Amino acid sequence: MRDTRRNPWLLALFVVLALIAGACGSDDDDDPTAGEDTEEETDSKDIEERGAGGSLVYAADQEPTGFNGNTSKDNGTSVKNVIENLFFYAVKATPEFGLDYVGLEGEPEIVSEDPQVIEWKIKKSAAWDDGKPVTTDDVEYFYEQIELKDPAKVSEDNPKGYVNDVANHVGYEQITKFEAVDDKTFRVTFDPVFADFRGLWTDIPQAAFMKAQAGGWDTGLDANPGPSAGPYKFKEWKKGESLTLEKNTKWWGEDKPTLDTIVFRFLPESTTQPDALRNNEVDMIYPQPQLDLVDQVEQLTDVKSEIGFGPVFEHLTFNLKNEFLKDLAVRKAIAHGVDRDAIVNALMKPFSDKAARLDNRVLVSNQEGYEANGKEYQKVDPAKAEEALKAGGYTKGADGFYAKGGKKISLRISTTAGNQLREQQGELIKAQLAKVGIELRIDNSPSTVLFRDRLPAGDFDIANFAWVGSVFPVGGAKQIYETGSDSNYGAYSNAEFDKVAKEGASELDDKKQLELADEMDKEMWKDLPNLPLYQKPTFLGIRNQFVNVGDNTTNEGPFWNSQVWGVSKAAAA
Amino acid sequence: MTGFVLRRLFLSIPVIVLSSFLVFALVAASSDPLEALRANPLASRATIAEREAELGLNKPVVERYLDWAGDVVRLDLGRSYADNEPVWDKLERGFGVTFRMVALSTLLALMLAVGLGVFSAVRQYSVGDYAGTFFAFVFFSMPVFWLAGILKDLGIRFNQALGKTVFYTIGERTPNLEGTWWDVTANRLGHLALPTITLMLVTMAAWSRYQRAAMLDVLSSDYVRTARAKGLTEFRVISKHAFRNALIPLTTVVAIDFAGIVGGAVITESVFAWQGMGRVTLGAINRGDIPVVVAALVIIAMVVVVFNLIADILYAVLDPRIRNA
Repeated sequence: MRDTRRNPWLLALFVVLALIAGACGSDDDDDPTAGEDTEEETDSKDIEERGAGGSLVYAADQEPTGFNGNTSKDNGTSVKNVIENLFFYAVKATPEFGLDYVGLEGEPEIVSEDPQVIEWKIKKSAAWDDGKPVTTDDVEYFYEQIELKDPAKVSEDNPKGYVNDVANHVGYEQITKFEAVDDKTFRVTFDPVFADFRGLWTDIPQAAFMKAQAGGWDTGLDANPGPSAGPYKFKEWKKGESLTLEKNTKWWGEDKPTLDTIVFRFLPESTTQPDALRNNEVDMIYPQPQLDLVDQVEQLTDVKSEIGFGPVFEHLTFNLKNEFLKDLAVRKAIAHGVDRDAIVNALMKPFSDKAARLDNRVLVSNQEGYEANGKEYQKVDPAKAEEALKAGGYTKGADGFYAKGGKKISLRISTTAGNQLREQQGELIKAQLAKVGIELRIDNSPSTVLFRDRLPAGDFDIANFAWVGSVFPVGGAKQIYETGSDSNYGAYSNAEFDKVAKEGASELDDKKQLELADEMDKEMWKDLPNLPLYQKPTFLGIRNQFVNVGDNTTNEGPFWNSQVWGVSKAAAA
Repeated sequence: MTGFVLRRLFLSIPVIVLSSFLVFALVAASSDPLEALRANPLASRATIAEREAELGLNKPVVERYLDWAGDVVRLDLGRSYADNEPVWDKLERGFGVTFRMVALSTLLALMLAVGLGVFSAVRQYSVGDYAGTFFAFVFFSMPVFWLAGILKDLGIRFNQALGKTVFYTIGERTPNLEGTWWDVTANRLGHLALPTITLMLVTMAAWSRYQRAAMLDVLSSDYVRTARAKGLTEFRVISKHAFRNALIPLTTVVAIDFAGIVGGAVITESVFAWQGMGRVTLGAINRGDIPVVVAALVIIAMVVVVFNLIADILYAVLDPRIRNA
């Protein structure tokens, strides 16, 4: 009896020692070829030849909340990444910030400039997978639901009496007349002028399906998106686990999908993603990049990865109601004193050598028309910073900080607590500005408090957060910087800027509009309502056997061209 | 006995009501279900206000709590702010996932812990006892995510060496798997293996210490000495007289711990990406999804109350002294 008891013990001991030995040795026998393929570019312009079939498993950061991407409930990337493969899109943004009229016969036509009347022609071949064509009815129903109003609903919270839950009315609220010319052609009249009309009519579900759902617009698409007008169609959603799309064999586009299925596996903890890739449980990841995660993925020999710079950019917003910050001299001193290159080198260069300072707050660097403005602030210049302060009537005190009228310049810098990168950023900026005699105090709040309570109430001095660039930069920038606008947290107001912004928002020529966008930025470099820092990186990892998968660093994301995805011929063979 | 059970359940009601209000108020103050919408510059303040009104976020916390409690009394747990799914569906699914994850590991941990504890006590200060003690403390003090990480790494290495996936690191099954009953079962087991081993090692480590202490206590008691003096065989002394009595303390510990595990083995669930109770609750806390958080809390609290009660009843059943007192 004694012996039989001891043997299992020895076995157990052996197993545990093996476990520990294995764990300790985990670093030294990694593949010698690791890191070879990391900087490979995925070029999505030329479609590589694909083999038949295959299934791609994507590690989704978040589970979708439903499928109506135009409601405030479903207005997130987790939903967009799915419906981008399913719904009707008149237009999609290309990675170069251009426009691809995927669902139209051609560019929408300007019928009249005053009043502004635009005509859209839906592609003749465009159809849902249940056989019905995509018609003006689908678009009109979509528009009607967004702008549906009921006088009985008018209240303080809902001044226009909107009936449905809609995330944004921009553009739609300017429509005064929607006219169906025929099944595939419709004309829309805008008043006031809406210059970003080219971006309208995306994420459109089938009208007939939505009408048949008891929940209607708000909740009718909670569990099922209905028929597909995209390259894939909805197959199954196992809540908490995965969502599966399958090939839409009736897809009318030029490039036919070859993958049998795209599976979204829900992996909210990005730390689980590298192991899942390594163990062949997922094929594609697109997490918020973090250094150790990027390192781990770059070690994998059968995965190629790509760092891009997306439309999201970090910046410092100045509260112009603050007694010091309302003084341009102080803002100038800060712009001269913050070493943006040093911040990029410290925090972003470890991700990619291509990381760079952003010198424009209206256009992002990979966008047509981008100019590196604010020339005088591009290189850090502590001497000029101090000069600006002196010229503004400030004098340096014994403690090394500037003061005026006995009051020392002391400002709070606030960002989202718990975000390590931003916390480090705050410390760096604090140290940099201390050198030019401006005292900063770190005053971070959880993102909830910052965005819900502090920013809208103007309870900040300098705030560090992010804005998102766009293919339609003028509309976005107008929303953020125009006098009295909801998102204008720093209370910036400049009549000249407002004039240019208004002009830009009503300029129907897209080239001229980009010039005006740049002018808007130049105007703001004079006033410095904020200071752009850098664009945030994106990170895409994809197993080598897949071809034509690449990031689209506009707001579109990597799923924009899923119809050309596939497995390589070699892998399929 | 019935009176005892009813009294205990009745006394737990104020605790649950108070804790649900505290959680409601804390989550309402600390997180925001509309955070993403607020960060979107295209969403106007009117849109946000409208949405706030729709979800009732603009009302005072006490009023919101009373609304919620009124629905709960009518057996309606409401719907998630995030995806409008009925809260009950979400929690039911989460419980199922957690139960599937912890049931086997708890059973295995219990059997191993009892075996190991008894062995360590009977062979006190032997090599086996020292080794058992050593590893119990190793696993007890090891952070779960670290242990899980090591096991994942070993599992993946094993797969790579074999050229075939046996162990899986995420979820409880491969999506859209088609195959025979055996394929599906093997796939499930391959997903279950690593989380089960992780949880088993961690729980076993603690429980075996309880069992060892209880057994040592019993072995030095008078009635064991009496049994030995009567000339019973050592096997009979240990199995009949000592072992049974030494199970009593562990029973209560296990019953109470199990309630805690069902409430969410949140780290294990996160590392292995199982959408169980802990992860459902944690995700809801982060998103400010109050209906889900508070309902989850109340149900977890009720499970804890019930399991504590079961522990007490078991104690009485196992120990006649308590029953008759």
